Amino acid sequence: MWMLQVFTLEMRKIFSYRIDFWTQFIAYIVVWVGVSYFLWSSIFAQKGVNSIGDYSFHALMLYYLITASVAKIIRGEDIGQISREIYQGELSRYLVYPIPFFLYKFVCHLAHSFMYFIQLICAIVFFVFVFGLPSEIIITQENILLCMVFLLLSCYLHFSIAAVVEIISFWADNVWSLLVMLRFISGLLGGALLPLVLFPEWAQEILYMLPFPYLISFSSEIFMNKVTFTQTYSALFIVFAWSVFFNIIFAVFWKKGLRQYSGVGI
Amino acid sequence: MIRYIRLYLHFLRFSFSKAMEFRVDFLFRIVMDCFFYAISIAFYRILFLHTSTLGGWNEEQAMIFVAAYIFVDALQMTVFSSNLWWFPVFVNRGDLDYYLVRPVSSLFFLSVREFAANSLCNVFIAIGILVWAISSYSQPLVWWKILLFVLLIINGTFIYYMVHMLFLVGVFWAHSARGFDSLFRHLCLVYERPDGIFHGGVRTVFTTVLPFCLMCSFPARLLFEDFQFSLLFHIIITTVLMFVVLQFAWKFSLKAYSSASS
Repeated sequence: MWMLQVFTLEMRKIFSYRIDFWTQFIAYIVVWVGVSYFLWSSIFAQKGVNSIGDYSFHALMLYYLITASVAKIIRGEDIGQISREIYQGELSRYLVYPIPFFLYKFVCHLAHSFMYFIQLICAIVFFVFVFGLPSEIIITQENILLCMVFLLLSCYLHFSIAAVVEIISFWADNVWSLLVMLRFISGLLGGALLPLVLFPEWAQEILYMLPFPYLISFSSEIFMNKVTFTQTYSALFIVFAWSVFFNIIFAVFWKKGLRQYSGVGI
Repeated sequence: MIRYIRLYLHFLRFSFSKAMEFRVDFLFRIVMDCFFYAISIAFYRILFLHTSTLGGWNEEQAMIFVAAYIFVDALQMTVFSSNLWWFPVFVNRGDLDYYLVRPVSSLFFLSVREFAANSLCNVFIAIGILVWAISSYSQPLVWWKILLFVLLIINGTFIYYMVHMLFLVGVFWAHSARGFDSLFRHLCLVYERPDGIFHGGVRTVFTTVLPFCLMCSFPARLLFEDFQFSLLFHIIITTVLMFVVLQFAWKFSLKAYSSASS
């Protein structure tokens, strides 16, 4: 029950800045997909081909649209929230709450992700309405459902990784740079900058063992019907394993960090 | 002029002693930027696995362009970034008063007071990448073109600062620069792509009103393509015009400043 209340409260906070929220999203999507459009139209024109790495130009634009939104969904709230609270001593108030800190923060994170998810739906509907669906892509109900489940897991995995980085602030003055680093890495290795199918094969083999592809590109690939059910199930297992791994690290760091925490800034 | 140089040297001294107080952050920032450089290079390397040219440039030329935008990024992070990060906060809190009463140009004082000493290491790394990219170029390059290229990407950093500042002055009326700043940061993707990929009205915008293509793409063109005076003239005129517009916009914006804390 408390989860729903926290979720609703966070949604209300987001709605108080709704114009800012939507204008930022539109600017981001227009610039990101726009620049990708010019980049890839130049490459397609130079090569004179219909598809590159299994993607037609049309499908590639849809891919960029989805991955740009998914990147927002998994990142949820602004980076550095937890680290700022630790650094400024605001963490103390969460420690007296009768609910687990990690879960509380994840629910807040989910509220932001949910808003971005609505934006993703609007973006896809707009794209399909204006440009149509790429002919080679068949979207099924199973794909949509699986994509939504996977998105939720991606959110959890990203939150788990980011939370570990954030609580390093128990020891370091500023972990903002580390969070930006995570953003850079997940951008390239997660497939937001380029579809992973364009990477060399040896790199793809390594990449799919890491958590990054499952943060951004995999959900898009499920939606666009580019992965098999076997690949999806193996991905679910990998996401679960990485989540457990980062949760254990978080638990260890959290325990040690709390001993270090002095509540500066109270 | 001497007064401004002496003042800037004082800023440098303060910034270095401040940076050394947060040594872990100092290290993190260097590593963060190195990741950005590695990812930028990897992005173009992967792209060139699927094409032989991009916007009319081959891989070697694109690498020089990448090195140029890495250099511009490092330099603007070192000289301007921290100052522009705090600028909207100063306006909203009324802290701008402190800058306005100084007997020097308030825009100068506000724009260069904080020197990011930790990013200075990244400038040296960026110079290393630039030297590597130029020395790996298989065609002969004349020395004066290399010199001109370096001067023009330093000028590109200045254009970057001016465009960013013009986006931020909206804070005097909107009271939140978040939207403007985030739009500028999204648009920065344009200066990380060769100008040859843009065409039509979009190209006109990015070479005039929002001159992102002038920061690195045009200087790179002047380096390894046939010298075109019109291109150089375009960069100079746009820089001067941007400077004039910024001065005007700054003076005009200050009239809207109400010193929130007083």
